[in-house]
Order: sequence, then C-alpha cells, then structure tokens
Amino acid sequence: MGHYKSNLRDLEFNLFEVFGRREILGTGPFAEVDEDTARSVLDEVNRLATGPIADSFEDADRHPPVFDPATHDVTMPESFKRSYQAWVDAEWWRLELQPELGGTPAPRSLVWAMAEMVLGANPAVWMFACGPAFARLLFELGTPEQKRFAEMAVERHWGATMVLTEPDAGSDVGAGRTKAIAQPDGTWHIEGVKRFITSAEHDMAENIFHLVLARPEGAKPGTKGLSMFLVPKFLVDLETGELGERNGVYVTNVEKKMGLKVSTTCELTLGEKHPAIGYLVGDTHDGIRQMFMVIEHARMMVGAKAIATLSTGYLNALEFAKNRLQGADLTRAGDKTAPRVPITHHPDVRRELMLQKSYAEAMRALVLYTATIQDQIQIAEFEGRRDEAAEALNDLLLPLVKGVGSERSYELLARSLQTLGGSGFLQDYPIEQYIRDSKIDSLYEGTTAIQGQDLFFRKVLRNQGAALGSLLGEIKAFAASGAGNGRLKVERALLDEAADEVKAMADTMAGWAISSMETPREVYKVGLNTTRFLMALGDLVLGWLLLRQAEVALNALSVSEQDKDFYTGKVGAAAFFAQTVLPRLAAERRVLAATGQDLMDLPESSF
Amino acid sequence: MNIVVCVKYVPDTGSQPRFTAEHRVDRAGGRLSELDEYAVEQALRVVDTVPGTRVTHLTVGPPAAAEALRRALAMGGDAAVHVSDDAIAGSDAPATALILAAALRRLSPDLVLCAMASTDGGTSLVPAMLAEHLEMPQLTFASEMSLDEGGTVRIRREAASEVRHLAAGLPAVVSVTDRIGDPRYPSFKGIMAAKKKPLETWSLADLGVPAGRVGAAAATVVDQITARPPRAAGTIVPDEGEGGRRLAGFLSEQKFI
Repeated sequence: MGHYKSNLRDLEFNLFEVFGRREILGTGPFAEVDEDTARSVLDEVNRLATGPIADSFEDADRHPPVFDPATHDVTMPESFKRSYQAWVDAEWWRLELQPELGGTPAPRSLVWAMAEMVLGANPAVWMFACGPAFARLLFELGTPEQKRFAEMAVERHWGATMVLTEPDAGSDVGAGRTKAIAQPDGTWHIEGVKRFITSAEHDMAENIFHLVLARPEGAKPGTKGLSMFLVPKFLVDLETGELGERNGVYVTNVEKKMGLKVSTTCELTLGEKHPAIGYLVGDTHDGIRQMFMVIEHARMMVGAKAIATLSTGYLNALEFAKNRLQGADLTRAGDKTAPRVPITHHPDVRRELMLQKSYAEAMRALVLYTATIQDQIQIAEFEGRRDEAAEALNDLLLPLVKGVGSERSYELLARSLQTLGGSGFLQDYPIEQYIRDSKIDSLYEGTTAIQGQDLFFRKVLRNQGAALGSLLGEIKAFAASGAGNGRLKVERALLDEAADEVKAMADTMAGWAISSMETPREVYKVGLNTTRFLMALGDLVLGWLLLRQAEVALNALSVSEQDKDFYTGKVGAAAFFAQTVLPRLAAERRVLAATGQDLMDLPESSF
Repeated sequence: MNIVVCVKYVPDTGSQPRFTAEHRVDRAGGRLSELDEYAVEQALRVVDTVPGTRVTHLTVGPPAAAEALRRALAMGGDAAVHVSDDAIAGSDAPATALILAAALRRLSPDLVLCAMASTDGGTSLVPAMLAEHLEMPQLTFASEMSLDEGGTVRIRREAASEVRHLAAGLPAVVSVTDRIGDPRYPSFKGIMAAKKKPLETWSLADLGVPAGRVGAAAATVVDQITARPPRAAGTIVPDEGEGGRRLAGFLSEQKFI
C-alpha cells in the first residue's frame, strides 16, 4: 500500500447524503454526468490516486527536479513523470472544461471531490496539470486567436502558469515593475523578473503558456494599471499548430525549498536575452480582474490541498495508533500484569485523534459546501442569469477554505505526527513530508494575514455584511431547528452561542472600521483581529457543517444498521467539536473586545 | 478476431467476507474481480495489434453483477452479456461453467480469456471446465500470451520448477495470471463511452440450460461456515539473564531446532 489514504466514503457522504447532489446531476449544464457516472468517476479517480499518482510521492521528494542554469531546462524525476502522465492520460480534467474545449461539464462539487484525492496523493500532479483549467479561462476571456490557442493547449496537454509575484511585489501585487511595451503589430514586449512562479519549467509538455501581469508603459501605478498577457514558451503558428521560435521568457533559477520539492518554483526572466512577446488577453486592459479569476481558483485549490493532506495524515496516524500496543489501560496503570493495549485506548490519544478527525472531516465539508455554492453559480450561468447571492457567499467562503484550511491543516498535521511518537519523526512514515509539503499552503496565493484582511474588509465590510448575515442566519436557523430529534440539543445550543459570539466580533470590528473614518488609528484594532476573526468564523462554520452531518447520520442510524460505525463517528465528531472547540469562541470574543492600541504603541526597539 | 472475456462480480477484497443466511457469498457492494482485470487487459492489447478484433465481456451473476460488466466496458471492449436468472442463485463452479459454456457457444469466440481464479471462490477450475464443455484446448496460468497470424495462441506458464511454453490452435481457452501485465485504468472517455455500449441480459431459457442443472439444488452444499478462531497471543520471553537459553528451549520443544 502507498502512503495515501483516501476517504471516498466521506466524499460520497457529503455529495450525496448531505448536499443532495443527485438533484442536479444529469440535469441542465451537467446533462452528461448523472449520479452513476459521478460515482464511477470518484471510484476510478480513487484507484488512480491511491495507485500510480501516489506512487512517486516519496521518490520525487528525495530526488527533486534538476535545473540546468546553462540551458534554462528542468529535468523532472522519472517516477513523477509517470504519475503525471497517468493523470493526463486518464483525462478526468475534461470534467472541468466547457464542451467547446472538448469538455463534459460536471458540477464544481464533483470536480473538487475528485481533486481532493489527487491533491492528497501527490499535489504537484494536480498543480502541473493546471493547463486545462487555465485554458478554460483563456477561452472565456480571450480574443478569437487566443481561443484557438486555448483549444491547442488542451488538445496537446500544454502546461500553464500564473505570473504575478516579483522580488519586491509579493503580497503587494500593485508594486509590480514588469513592464509591457506596445509593438506596431499589436503584440507587446514584456520585460522584467518574476519570482515564485509555480511550474514555469519542466520537461513534461512540449509548450508552457504563462499568464503574466505587467504594466503597459504609461499605465497607472498600483493594481489598476496592470494588464494580463499571454506569453507562451514557444510561439505558435495558429494555422498549422506548429511550434515556432523560442520566446524570450526563461527560467533563471529554481528555488530550493522545505517541501513540495517536485513542484518547480521558478524565477522567470522576461525579455532579457531577446524579446518576450506577449498578447494582451481579450485585447483589453483589465489585468487584475482577469487574474483574480485565476487566483480564486488557485485559492480553492490550496485549501483543498491542505485539507486533503490533513485527512491522509489523520488516517495514517489512526492506523498506527490502532496497531501500536503501549502501556496498560489507565484504570490499571499500577498493575504490572495488566495487558498492553493499543494506544487508541488512552484518553489523551483519543482526544488528539478526534480533534484531527473532526477538523479533517469538517474542512472537507467546507470545501464541498463551498463547491456546491459554485454549482449554483454554474447553473445560473447556464440559464443565462447571475446568482449574485451565491457569488457573494462563494467570495465569503473562499478565504475560509484557503486561510482556515491551510492553518488548521498544518497545525493538526503536527498532531498526526505526534500520535506516532518518535516514529512520526522518521521518514519511514509519510507525515513528516506531509508537514513539509503543506507548510506552503498558508503562504502562497495570499498568506493567512491576507486572507483575514480579504475576509473582513472585502467580503464583509464592502459587502455590508449581507453574505455574512445570511450565512449566520442559516446557522442560527439550524441551531433553532429540531435537527437530531432531541439528540443534538446541547450541541445546537452551543452552536447558537458560538454564532452570537462571531456576530458580536464582526459588529465590534465594523464599529472600529466606521470610527476609523474620523480616527484613522482605530483601523489598527481591526487589523489586530482580522486573523482571529477568520479563524473564529471558520470554527463556527465547521461546527455547523459537522452538526448537519450528524443530523443526516442520526437519520441513517434510525433506519438501518448499514455503515453503523461510519455514522456513529459522524455524530461523535460533531458532538466533540461542539463541546470542545466552539466554547473557545467566547474567549476569542473577549480578547477581541478588549483590544487596545498598546501593541501598536510599543516601540519597535522594544520587540 | 472475436474475443470473449469471462468476468465475475465479487465482494471487495478489502473487506471481511460476509455470507448470507443460506451460506452464500454476500456480494453487496461488490466489484469486478481484480484478477479479471488482467484478462480484460490482454483482450484490449489484442485490439491494439489485430485490426477488427471485437471484445465481449461475459458474466453470470445477480442483477448487480452488471456493474462488473460496466467497469470492464469502461476499460474497453465493444459489448457485454449478462446471464442472470433467479434459478442461478447458489450455483457452484461446475454449474457456473455450464452456463458460461452455453453463452460462449452462442457468442462463438475465437479466443476465451479468463483470470487464473476468482478472488472469492478461488477454485481456478472454471477455465478448464469451459475448455471441456466447448471442446477447445486450454492454456492455463499464462504469464505471457501472443497470437500469430496462422491462428495459434502461445503462452508462457511459470511452474514451480520450470517454465513451459505452450501453444494451441484457435479457438482456445486461455487463463492469465497477475504477472502478465498491469491492467489499464479506465479513462474519462472510457467511462462515458461505456454507458453507450450494448449490454444484453440473457436468461437460462435463452440459453436452453435447464434450471434443474444449476442453482443451489444442483450444487455442492455448504453446511456450515465458522470464522477462524483469532490467533492466540504469542509467548513473550523476558530476558532476565536466561533469555537465550529459554528461547532455545522453546524452539527445541517446538522441534524447530
């Protein structure tokens, strides 16, 4: 058996039992993908993920890609190439594409369920294979020529990148200095150095296309002045499909990293040796809005990746704990003749395991719940309308998926490792690599600090609390319902209190934000609490989703004995989370309410 | 070339075997036998090399067994035949072979491919029984298989002390081992295409097999099934200076040394 332990049962539970996806499968935009097909997809992707995709996970970490500065080429490990090829050949990525690009559209919820297994088995496979997803966007935004380019990119499995970051423009994207110079033939020459570009060079595709943010000469400073350009590694004859000259975009360094080593993180130099020819995407200067469509996809991916890793980390820890005999039962601790028991019998190990289980399963539910909101957006688009409420809710949930997903996963993977004791520190088990590979998730595509600010300033404040209000309303309504037939009474009361705490936190922060218009320093108090609020809202939503699962599980338990352990575990996880995690939100609210200016007044020299 | 692959719907090997009240294998939540995937793969490799090859998957089993056929079709092939009839329930290997043989006569294959065994019954006998019924040569336990243009099938069989290379004229029955080459994973296109491929269901009457010759009444009777007792705990020899001696004593008592 390989390292990856998937949880197909839980994916299906979410999709079919909790979120009722059979109602939309086989209908509207998803006519070709019915429930049977969806189940086959999950089943086959599970086999592929646990088999050939997971196979190179360890080898590719120990033998990472090799960069040759003289030729600017990267040689990928052979083991990883096989995993990548298995994914490309199986063509499940067609479920992400519109029919015009040779796709068979599936609900986003099915796509993200499928993605979880690949991201858990070998995340870089999914990342290198982002070509179709980026081509879909190029097809949506592009000129007729760019649409043709997108078709070729899909047919011929070209790689793709998103190119924003520069050495002095990280979180502050608007500080980007890479410039675009208009040419008489309508193309642009791009000049500058970009950094931290994922998948910018490898030897697994004949071409790679970069979506690059650059500032046209004379354009405004800040993010508003940025435009998005299509910059292919090799120029393409759109008539014949033949690859032409090498474009002037070269990888000039590949970073040495803590983890996720098989994913090439590149420095990309444009227009230094010879011109890097770029094509203005959609022939319109609207770069930051266009790039945000890519970024949102990437943020969802990062959260899903982190959570998938926690899930396999927990399941590895669980298997170890069940088989590890150590010590006697605590009630017979003084009795030398007492039999040795598996460590799952020890209260502290149980608590640690249940914390991992409840978060891993709650965050899987968060990814899939968010994806069901994206399903709604897809259906609305198919019907030629906009579902603005769903769009606002999706916007609100994305920083939770990304920020909470990555922070909690990294934190809890340390608990998974801890479950193994000293063995966890060894490379004999995959958890040390999970920890190294998942640390990046709280960093790239916007750090947790950025997610917290995005959540509060853009998704709550600018939205005037509409999406947050309706989400809290839904949670309060569930708390007040009869869900669980009396079995979840205590837990629903705890959820109700937690919702009030989070509401109070948001109100207090909004108050500071308003008074900052008169007294600018008041905004510091908001800034001191945006991450706290992000994590608190995350816990609340996770607790709610677990209780929704428990309600479904109790109903299932009342009608049959089938999958009794699975459903009992659902009720147990929801109760544990409500009783041990949700009450902490009261303390968070107190800390938040007491925020002053002390920390901001403290001289830097006193740190 | 007309190839028929015999496949079976079996319980998931990952879970504990379950039995019904009549001591039959409980196939709920079953799947295509993993060993059958190797036979399907061999058939599909012939498709890649011999133009005009047609592959049909054949199974005998309850209604849910159609799932095994769908999965085989998702891997590849053209059509599937499901022999299903209430009277078949409880059939043993000879009865299953009788039904398969009747269906095979109707399909008149040039080559019948089987796995070396099913992952549940595990008798390995059905391919030989089919060859007998159909009066075809049998080439069993193939770890390699090739076809030549003259209509000869050749296999390599790895026996305990020697390797045998065997050949027979077509039509023939071949069973393959899990060393013959990894089966492919069904692709997205495979899954979508499988939904549109023909899957016929035949009854015993369609095949002219008398119900009395199959099913529980015609089968070996399973009287009782009991779980094996759990393994007894091992003996731990604490080393208090005498460990080596006591260990040697234990091994000698057990006649290991």
